[in-house]
Amino acid sequence: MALLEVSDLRTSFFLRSGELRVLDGVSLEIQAGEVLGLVGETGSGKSVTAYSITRLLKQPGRVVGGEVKWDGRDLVRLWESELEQEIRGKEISMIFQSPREALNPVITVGRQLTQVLRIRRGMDRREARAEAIRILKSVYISDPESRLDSYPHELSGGMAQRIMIALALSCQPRLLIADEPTTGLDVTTQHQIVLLLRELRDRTGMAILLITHDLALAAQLCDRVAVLYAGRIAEMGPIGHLFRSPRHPYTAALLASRPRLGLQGDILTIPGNVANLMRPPGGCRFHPRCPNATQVCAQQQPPLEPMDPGQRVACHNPMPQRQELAASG
Amino acid sequence: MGSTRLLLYAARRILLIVPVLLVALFLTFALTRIVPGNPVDRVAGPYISLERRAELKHIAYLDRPFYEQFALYLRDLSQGKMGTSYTTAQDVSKDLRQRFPATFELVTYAMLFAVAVALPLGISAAIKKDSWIDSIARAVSVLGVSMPIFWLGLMLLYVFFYFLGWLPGPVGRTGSAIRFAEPITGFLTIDALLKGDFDLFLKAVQALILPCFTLGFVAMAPIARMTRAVMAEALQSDYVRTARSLGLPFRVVVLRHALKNALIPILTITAAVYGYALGGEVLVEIIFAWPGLGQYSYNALLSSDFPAIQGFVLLVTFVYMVIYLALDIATAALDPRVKY
Amino acid sequence: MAVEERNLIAPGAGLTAAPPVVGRFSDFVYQLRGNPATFAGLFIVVVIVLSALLGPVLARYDPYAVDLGQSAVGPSLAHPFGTDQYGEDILTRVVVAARLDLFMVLSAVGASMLIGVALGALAGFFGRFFDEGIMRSQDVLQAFPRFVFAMAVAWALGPGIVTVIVATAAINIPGYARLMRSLMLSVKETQFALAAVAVGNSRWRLLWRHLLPNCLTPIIVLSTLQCGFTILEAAGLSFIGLGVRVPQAEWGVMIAMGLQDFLQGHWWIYTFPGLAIAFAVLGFNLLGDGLQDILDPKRRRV
Repeated sequence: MALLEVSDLRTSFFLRSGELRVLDGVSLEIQAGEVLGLVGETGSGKSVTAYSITRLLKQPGRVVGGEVKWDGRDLVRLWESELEQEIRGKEISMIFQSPREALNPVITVGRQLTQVLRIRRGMDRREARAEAIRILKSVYISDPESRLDSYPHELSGGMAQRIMIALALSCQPRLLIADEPTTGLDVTTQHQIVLLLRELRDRTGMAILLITHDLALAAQLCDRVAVLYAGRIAEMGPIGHLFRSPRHPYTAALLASRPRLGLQGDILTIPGNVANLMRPPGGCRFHPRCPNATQVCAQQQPPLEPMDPGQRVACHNPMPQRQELAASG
Repeated sequence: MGSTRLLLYAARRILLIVPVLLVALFLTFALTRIVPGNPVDRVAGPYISLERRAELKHIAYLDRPFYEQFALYLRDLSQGKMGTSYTTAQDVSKDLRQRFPATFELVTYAMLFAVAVALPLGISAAIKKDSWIDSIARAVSVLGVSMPIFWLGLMLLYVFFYFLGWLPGPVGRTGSAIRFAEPITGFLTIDALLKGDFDLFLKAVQALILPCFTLGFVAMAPIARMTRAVMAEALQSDYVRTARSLGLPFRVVVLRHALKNALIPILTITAAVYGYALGGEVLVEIIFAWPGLGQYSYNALLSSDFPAIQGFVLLVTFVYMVIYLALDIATAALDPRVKY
Repeated sequence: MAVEERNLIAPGAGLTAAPPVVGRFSDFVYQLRGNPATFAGLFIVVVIVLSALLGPVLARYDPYAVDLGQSAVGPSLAHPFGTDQYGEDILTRVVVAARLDLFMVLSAVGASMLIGVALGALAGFFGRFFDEGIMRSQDVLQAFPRFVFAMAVAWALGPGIVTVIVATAAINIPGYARLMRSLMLSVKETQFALAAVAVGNSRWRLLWRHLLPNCLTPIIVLSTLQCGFTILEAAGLSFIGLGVRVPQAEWGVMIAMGLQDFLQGHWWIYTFPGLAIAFAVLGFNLLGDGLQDILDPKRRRV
């Protein structure tokens, strides 16, 4: 059984000018110990998926339908207090982009950590301090004792993200949701954070849901990838298959538009604009921008179906499978 | 963060108050000298002999040039003398000392009341936006800043004293003519309890209700409004989301995470409101015949009692500065990001 | 930091430089429709302005017609708001007083705006010596509690309409100066200001033609809110006898007349002028808050 099973998740933002359907039936699952990447353009609903799972959406967002199954319980229908006491932190933790803003600016790092340990793990003051130091060491923070007295504004971006990871790990969760964890960090620091996440996964066996727009990052860390377009999953599968033989035209376009070494000529861009979620196009939401679009695409939403070489794709006219891959199996 | 550094900051900040206070002092002094006509002429009227007039002017240093007057005023002030009041015939500093406790008690209770209502109201409104409690908070904050304080006082007096007869009328601190022998703290309510005079305590409380509510209601509005705004912002912040993602109880998230961040703007507005209350307090004291500084200043203004006016403005300004001093130091202590 | 925020209690606290919203009238109306409170504020202000303009024409009585036979009569059909001690019709006086109160308030706010904006612009634009000198002088002004300072100024000048204007204008100046200075500092660094210098505009031309218009929005909002506060302070000064004096039809004075008769239970003498003040201030506050929402792109309706 999958650790987390999201099915047909629908989330809307209710603005004065109307309902913005940010998620329109997202389904995905994460196995224990697995790293799943959720990729897509800005505004495709990646982060909203994450916050819908833990029900931490900011105003005026609301989950309007679907299920989020965790250990047989539906998180969408759980009481807020149950979610608070039993799920958040202990089962599912999160780390965020711009880590310095994610930490409370007027409370020291040490207090933020020990507060969680004392309230969530029932430790006393001394135990909590010792545990905080141990956790900080495990995320490779040098001189953890003196770091406990720092305020977030005194930390570098990379350091703040390590602290954030330490906080998220403090209750030993089984799933870590990482929302663009490397955005805004310099390249070296990005790499260190990736290495740290990979090592933590190996060491603790927790699963990771990595949300990113950075395909290269997803390739470094993930076992499987789900591609999100305008609030729907376009394609999902093992990272090797998806990268080598994308079947959804959107995935193919996304891969073609990324800058690479040795690239000749201009970077390919995807024509048109991201779908307007207030008045989304009918049928497949990608069809106005899709090179393969036919009549049926504008009328019917394609279901997510298994396709060779081993992924699931929502497309009426998928890209042909790349030959070298078909031959090798 | 070193507490020594904080102490140094506080010391520097206290020293900085001196020049501002001196300029304010000069301004107040100058203001009382630009009044057309000589104070003695204005107060004494025409029925007084020329010799007596000259004598009076000499006592008040009015026969000397302006700068000398100011220097002498400063000298007297350094010895704790503020000049003799024309109406009470004793030194203004003594007058002010006698009346300060009444005002201080009123303003303190009013501010406590304002904060005690405004904080929970603003916080609840921020948590439950667009709910009924939010509507109340918004109504209170817009009404509170729209109503003339002296009119509100009158209306309340009419309803609760004249019409219903539940509370004492505008007769000062006790609602009756009881004189209190020797004050201990100066707070009539506390003094009465200390002396075990429960009857007096009740009277004092009853007399405090209306003026306190009047002043407090007006002071409450900006505080509730600010609390609602900054708490709403804090509750939507990333660090609150982090705290919630860790499963911290909502109470902890609101009180220890959000409120701690919102505290500085709330304190700042409270200090600003305190200054506002010091002005509104004058009007409240007039309405309720409260025997404090406001009433004293009102009488001083009506009778052109120069030293009294000077003394009053000086004292109130000083109190206001001390409030801001406390605020700045509290801000420095609360916010690690403030450079000092 | 706290010093910068000292004027928080004063209206318009927290105003910041916003890029000018391209003001289309139809858009303004759209924003207004989604904001009933602002609409109510606008309505109230229009009513006050109309009664200031047309008051004497509309009134059924002469506001200064003493009729001791009709002294302190409660509300009736003939006198819906009753009469005061001199038998003057209170409804008439409340309506007619709008002209005097509005005149004092607009003059005071206008004067403080001119002076404050000029000071703030100089401080922000030239910096250094100007900045220090001007802002420290504002610090001193703000060291006094607002109303206490107004009282002292009014007392020194002696009662009268001009006194009220000068006293209330004086306490509003620092608010404008601070706002204008901070606007100037932020607008000065924007791309378009740099571009304007780059194409060879003189400093004065830059200040006059480019920077000032971009500070207009917050200044308008602040002025609207200041109007509300100033009505209260002007009425307060007249109430304690430092402003306009007794026979005048002015809201604060009329409440003071009511205070004299308080123990006789003549509630109507002070109730209606007080309502008029609260109504007017409410109008300016609602309008000011709403304008802030409408004109600030970050807080607009979506």
